[in-house]
Amino acid sequence: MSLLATTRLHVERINAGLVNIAADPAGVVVLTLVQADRAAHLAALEAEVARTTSTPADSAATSAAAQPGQTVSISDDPAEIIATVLGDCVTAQTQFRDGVQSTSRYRAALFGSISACLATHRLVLQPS
Amino acid sequence: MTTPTADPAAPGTTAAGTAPVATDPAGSAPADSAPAFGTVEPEAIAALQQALAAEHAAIWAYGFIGAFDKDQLDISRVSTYTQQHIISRDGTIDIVTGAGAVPVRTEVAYSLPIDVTDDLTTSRALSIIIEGDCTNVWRFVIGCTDNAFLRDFAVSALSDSAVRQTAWKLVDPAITPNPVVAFPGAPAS
Repeated sequence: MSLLATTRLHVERINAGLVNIAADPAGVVVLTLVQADRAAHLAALEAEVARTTSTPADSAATSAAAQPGQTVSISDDPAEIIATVLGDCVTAQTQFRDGVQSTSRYRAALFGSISACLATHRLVLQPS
Repeated sequence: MTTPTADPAAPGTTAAGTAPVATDPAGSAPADSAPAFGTVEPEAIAALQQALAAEHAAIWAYGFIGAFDKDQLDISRVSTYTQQHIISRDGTIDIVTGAGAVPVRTEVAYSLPIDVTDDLTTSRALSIIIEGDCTNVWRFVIGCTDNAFLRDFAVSALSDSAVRQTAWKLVDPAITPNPVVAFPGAPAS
């Protein structure tokens, strides 16, 4: 799955998690922080793909998977929601880190920065 | 501070700092040929020198912070983070040297971006700033090279500093309410 599609899917999952975790104020706070960053990542990736649509897209290319509006399901249990989002962060961090290796300098810096952000998300999402 | 540093088991800690060194077949002497990690572009060497300067500054600053911050957990954190920056600094020196350049040296002292007084808040605030400085320079390194090893090294260093910065923010949310940054090292972050 491409980085863009992965990010889109993860944002959708966080959005669904925010609905289901509403009764847990601490969970809402953490997920809101992560959601804001992931939404910013998605916007940046979409802008980057749009910027280079005339060139063959690499690992950030669009994918049929996780298109906007797609619904995703997530647990109603706050702990499971956080664990799911944490798992997504781990997956995405690895994918963006790998993506740094085989792309342009501009994208490499963007992917590296997103990978670093995901590392910080893992810290804030870790069970205390 | 020159403008161009989580817990020991934190998620971004990926051991940046061990640069492979080219050796001759017989053993320990560095070879005269290209470094084992491949060609490093001139612009990447310049960026690495900035990163090295930031690592020098971070090590110095943590020494300064250690003199003020007497919180036991902070003392442990400062010690761990200093060691991580030393590893990053030494790895950077290995790369710069291996690429045929002379690594920049540490300054005798640095001017601080904020007044650090005998309280925890200013020490922690300085820690957040110096880790932010490091994220800036390491992200810049990534964007200055096509060298796969160097990109990987820089991503590790960038992630480590971003995680340390977040860890400091989590220690004292009053300094910066939001502990995370969407794009660590980016000019606007």
